[in-house]
Formats: sequence, C-alpha cells, structure tokens
Amino acid sequence: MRKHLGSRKTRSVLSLLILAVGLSIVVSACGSSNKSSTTSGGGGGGGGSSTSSQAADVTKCGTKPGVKATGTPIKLGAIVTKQPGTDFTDGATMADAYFHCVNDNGGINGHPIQYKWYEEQTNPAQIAGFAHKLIQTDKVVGVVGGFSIIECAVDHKYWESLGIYELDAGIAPECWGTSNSAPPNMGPRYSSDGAVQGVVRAGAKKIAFDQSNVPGTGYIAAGPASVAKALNVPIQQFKDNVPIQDANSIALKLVQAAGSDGGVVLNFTPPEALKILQAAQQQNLQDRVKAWACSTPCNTDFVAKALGQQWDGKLLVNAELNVTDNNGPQTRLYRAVFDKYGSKVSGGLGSFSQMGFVMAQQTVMALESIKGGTYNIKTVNQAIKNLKGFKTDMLCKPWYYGQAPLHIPNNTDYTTTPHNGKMVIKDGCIPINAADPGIAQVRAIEKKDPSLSQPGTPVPGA
Amino acid sequence: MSAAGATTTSGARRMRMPRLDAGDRVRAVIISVLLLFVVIVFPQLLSGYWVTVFTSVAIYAVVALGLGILMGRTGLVSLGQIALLALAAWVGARLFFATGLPFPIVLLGTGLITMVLGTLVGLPALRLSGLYLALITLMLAGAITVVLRATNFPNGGSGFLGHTETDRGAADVRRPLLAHGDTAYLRYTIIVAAVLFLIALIHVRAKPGRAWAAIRQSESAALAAGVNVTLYKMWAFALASFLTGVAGALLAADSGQLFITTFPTSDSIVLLAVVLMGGIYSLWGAVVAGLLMQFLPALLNNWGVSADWLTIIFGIGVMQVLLTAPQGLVYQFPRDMAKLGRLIMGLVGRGRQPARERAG
Repeated sequence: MRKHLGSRKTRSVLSLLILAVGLSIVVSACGSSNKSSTTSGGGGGGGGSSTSSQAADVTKCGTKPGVKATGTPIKLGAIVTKQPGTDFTDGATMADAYFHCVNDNGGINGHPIQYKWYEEQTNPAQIAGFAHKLIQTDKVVGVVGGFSIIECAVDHKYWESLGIYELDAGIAPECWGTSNSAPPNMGPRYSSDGAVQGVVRAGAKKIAFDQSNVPGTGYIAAGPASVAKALNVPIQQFKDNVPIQDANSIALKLVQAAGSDGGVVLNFTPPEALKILQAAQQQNLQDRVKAWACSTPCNTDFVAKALGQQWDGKLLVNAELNVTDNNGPQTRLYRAVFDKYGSKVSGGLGSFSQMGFVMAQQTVMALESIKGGTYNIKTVNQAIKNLKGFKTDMLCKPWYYGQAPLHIPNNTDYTTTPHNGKMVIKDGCIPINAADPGIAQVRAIEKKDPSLSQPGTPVPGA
Repeated sequence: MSAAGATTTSGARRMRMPRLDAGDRVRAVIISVLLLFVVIVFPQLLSGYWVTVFTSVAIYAVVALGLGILMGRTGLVSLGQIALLALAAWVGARLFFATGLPFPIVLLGTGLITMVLGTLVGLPALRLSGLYLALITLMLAGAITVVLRATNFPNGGSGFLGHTETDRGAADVRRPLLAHGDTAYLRYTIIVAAVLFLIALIHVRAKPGRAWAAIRQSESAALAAGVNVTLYKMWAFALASFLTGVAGALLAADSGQLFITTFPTSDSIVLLAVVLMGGIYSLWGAVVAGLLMQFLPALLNNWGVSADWLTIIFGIGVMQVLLTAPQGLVYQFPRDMAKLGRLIMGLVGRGRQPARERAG
C-alpha cells in the first residue's frame, strides 16, 4: 500500500503549483464583477437609490394597485450566464424585481408570477440540461428574461420542438437568426453596424474595425463589411486575442490603418475596449483620427468615468437602449422598481437591468392578453409570439415578435458619447443600415406587416 | 511496489492478461452487478437534467482516468488534459461530420488520432519532470486553446476546418442510431467508459503498470533495473491520450455543438485537483473525480449555490488531501467511516457495560 504521493519533491512541487494556480483562480473568481462584464451598467450598486429626477408610482406595475396576487402561480424561467468575468444575471434579477412588483399589485388576473433562472458557465451540456430541467422538473410555461453567451445556439432546436417562443437577450447569432427567439437587444453584429455608421456620420473616409478573437467573429465581421461597402468607405478588419496584452501597439496599428481622415471602430467588452482607448490616450492618438466608435458594451458610465473628459464627444457608442436617466414613463417606472424591488441587481442601473425590465414588461403584456385564464405552454407562448407594437421609451421603435424565420425587432438605435463621466445621447434614433442582409430581411417583414412596428396597446405603467 | 516485475527484458514483450485470484473474481462479480444496475436501472430513475449531468460525469471520469494513469501511475504531471480533450472533441466532431462511419469506429479513430497527437505532446516528458513538465503542458494547453479559438470547432461547414459562420443554427454532431435520446446516450457512454476503465485496469495489472510504478518511485532505479523508461513513459502518454480522445468524441456527440468556452485552460487545474481529491492511485478515484467535477457543480447549482464556491471547496479539498490523505477520498472515506463505526460501537458497548455489571 502506497503511503505517499510520489516523492517528497513531487509533493512539494504539486503543492506549490496547485496553491499558486488555485490562488490565481480564486482571485479571478473574486474579481468577477459586472464592471468587467460585457455591457454592465455603471450605475450605483444594487439596492442603491436611483438618480430619478421624477418619481414613478410602482403600483402601476399591475392592474390592482396594492392587492397581492394569491392565485396559482404562473411559472416562468430563464438561463443566464454567470462565470468569473462574465455576469449577465442583472437582466434576470431585474425581471424578477418587476415580477415582484406585478405580484404586489394584482398579478396576472390574480395569479402571481413565479420566476426561476439557472446560472450557467458556457457549458453546452449544462445549458441543455437546464433547458430540460426548466420544462420537465420546474414545469415552466415560458422562457423569458434570459441572457446568455451561447444558450440560443444550444437550445433553439429544443425550444422549437416544444413550441416555446423565447424572450431573451443574447450574444449568439441564433438569438436573432432563428424562428423561436426574439431579443430586446440587437447583438454585436448589428451594433457594430451602427458604430460603423456613427464614424461615417462623423466624416470618416476609411474604417479600421477591431474585435476580440472569439467564436463568431467571422459572422460579426460580415455586418460592418457590408455596411461600409454600401457607404462607399473602405474598411480594414482586425481581430485581437483577449485579454489584450499590448494595447499600445493595437491602438497604434488601428490609428495607422484608419489614417487621419478615418475612424476606428471597436467591438470588445468594456475592460478590453478601455485598454485600447486609454492606450490611445497615453500616446496622444485620440485626435489622430476623425472619430472613435464602439459597439454597445461601451455604453456604460463606467467607461465614461474611466476615460475622463478628454474623450467627451470624441467616442461614439452605438446604444441599443436609451440612457437610464431619461425621463420617459417606462424609464421612470424602471428606476422606481429598481429602488423598491431591485436590491439584488448588483450592477445597478444599466443596459443589462434595462433589458431584463423590458423583457419582463413584454412578458406581462403577453400574459395579460390571454383570455380564459389558462396559462400553459401553448397559450403563453402563443401570446408571446403575438406580441407586436410594444412601445417603450427605452427602445427607439415599437418592438414585436411575430411569426418569422428571424427576429431583429430592435433595428434602430441611439448613439451616445461620454460627457462629464456619464454617457449622454449624441444622436437620436437612427436605423441600422439595410445593407446588412439580416436587417434588409426584417425591414421586408415590417413592410409586409406594418402593424408589427406600429405602437399598439400601451404597456403597463405608461 | 518492487520494480522486479518490470525488469524482465528477455522473453515475450507482449502484454499478458493478469491472472485473477478469488478476491478479484468476487470483486469482478460485484462490479459487474453494479455496472448492470448503473446501465439498466439508474438512468430510468433520473430526470432529463440529471441524465445530462451523469453523461458528463461518465465522460469526465474517463478524462480523469487518463490523468490518473499519467500522474498516479507514472508520476508525470500534466496540466494540459482539458486542452487535449478539446483537441479530441475537435477531431471527433470533424470525423463525425466528414464521414458516415459507424459511431464506434469514429470513437476508435478519434482515440487513435488523439493518441498520436498526445504522444507528440508528451515528447518533452522524456527530458523533463515535475514543475517544468507541468509548465510545458500548461503552455501547450494554452497554445491549443488559442488555435482552437481562432479556428473554431467543426459544425458541418466545408473545408478542412469544417466550420461555417451562421445565425440560423449549425448542424449537431450525430449520435449513434442506437442511442439517439439522452437516456440511451447515457447508457452508451457508461458502457464505453466501462470498456475504457477495463483497458486501463489491464494495463495497470500487467507489465506496463509495474514499469510505471518503478518509474514513479525512482526513474534511475527503474533504469538500473532494466525498465525501458522511454518506452513506458511514451506508453503512458499514449494510453492517457487515447482515453482522452475517446472521451472527447463522446463529449462532441453529447453536446451536439462545441464551443471553446467549454474548455477553459483553468479546467486543467480543476481536473488535477479533483483527481488528487478522488484518489490518484485508484481507478475508482477517477470515478470520484468525475463526480466532483461534474456532479458537484450541478448539485450546488440545484441548491442555488454559486459555482464560484467550488474553487474554494476544491482548494480546501486539495490541501486536505495533500496533508492528510494522499490516497484520496476513495481510500479515506471508507477508512474514516470504519473508524466512525468502531467509535460508535465502542460507545454503545461502554454504555451497556454498567448495565451488565448491575445485572451481574
């Protein structure tokens, strides 16, 4: 019987090795925060008070103010990415906050919404398992409010086989390109299209487009390429491995590729984009091109604060949702719900929690449209699929689901820019260029059925 | 373990099947009954979610077995097993998409191709050991990850890489006709894993196992005793790579779709940790490692506990193993349970003694 783990030398080497690597993993796990995730809001911490200039009445969440729903629950679920460095749970947490608000104010025809989500670590088998669990064990009747890196790619066939119409924010191309998924956001490809349009509007005659070297970059790159071609602007594409090791040389490379009358467009997570932008600043490169632009992830006050006032008005960020301090009725309600129910929204006010709020409102709108009080997979998903004309001040145009082979209902958006440590609107609603084939397809769908994107029934709280 | 058994240089070099004594035969019967239960009855008791979890457990138990062969048997520290698994999944997926070969043939082919690649990766092991070998394998793992990140996994596309960028949903890696459903595929995976464990057992009980033990104890002594150190080191890498290769093909068909995010380099460290915790000297330790790596996170998730806690749990677990139980949980748990049983019996006995005295 052996009594030791190899030689003493081997044991000490192993101990040191595991201790060192273990420590590094712990540090990275502890360092996991929304600040280093893709499009986290840079607002205050969870539970902090919002910067509402006008208070909203949270009893507007439901149809019976102040009356708690006590009927049989309507079960809904979601799958969300949460792993060191990537935490998308704010969307689901904010959706849950809104559902609590609805439940406190009459629920859905007296039925409370019971919401459950699973946190995945980008493991396809695990994600597929959670999908089965939601349906088979938890008996959910709808899949709403999720936000995942690869869930759409892994589960879309399963949802199609069950007749589930998913409401999900996402990143994988299948979130937009398949029949049973419709997100409130437009994703990295179409947001990059918008960023390219932004630098061209700023006068750029040539574009250097850089993005992280991760799965799906080829798919994303095709969008900006087609838009640039339609705008008669040459584009040079780059891919860089993340985490970025040498931001200085990348910044220099991009500025040289764009030239003095060109523009640089970045599609990275906020920390990686910041590395490049700050490296450009250190080398005084920010004024060596006509414009700098970013896809949606940069639309956070965290980036605006980190960059400082030198970048005010110089960085254009394609923003899929409105800024969180606008005074539209839905945004006011969002802030009020966040203040009262959103103590678990760790990233504060920001894109993630906005998306969760929008999806929760869409879900409530669909549930309230069901006649007869039967809430099962068939009725709930039919109601979700029938959603159209959903108007909110968080999105540029009315949102819709509908029966279609692909869904990009958010195809017109804002441009923001840093100003005194905050992101502010620079340009209002500008449609994403239909030179991108996906956008052309949805515009054709909207043209065929104009009612999809015409304002319909007012949403709760309006 | 004496090296004597491995010193014979004359005579047949082929590997003979080890002879079974009475105890071995009893154990074989018990294991066969257990295996039949796990294959036939157990999957029926599971919900869809746990079926996918235990499929992953079976696959990762095989990966852990490969690392156990390398480290526990031969003393070769490898931090590149998860990258090798990713490579195997790539090869498996490519073969599944490119050929119409029967599933078992693709499994075998993937195992053999990965064996060649893994053996090449293992070449530095001939001159390196300990920390240096660990670092080399970790660097290679990083390199493999970088390449796979750039090339992506096959998804039914054309060309050598077999990857196509699409937003309409890529094709899934096929499963065997006999095991298309999740429950059937779990059974299939368990059977394949059992066969791989048997292959490993035959190696461990025969001449290679004795040679590996000699190399682990002292390479110089093994060399002096006539063990062909180069051959047996490469053999260990080849076997570990073959096992990982088959596991990779199973994983490709399990997920249907593969992403580089499934194979973070840090998972190689986690694998090493769970193999150490499970028991690096025992084949059962690999099963425990598979459970720790795939079942425990699922269980925590089920209880609503963040997976981040696992890092801390595994850290404490490894420290505990290194300090108190080098043979891992697979030895420690039964031993401690027996101790506990004796303690309880002792306390019960002491409680009864005064009563007997009074009666006397």
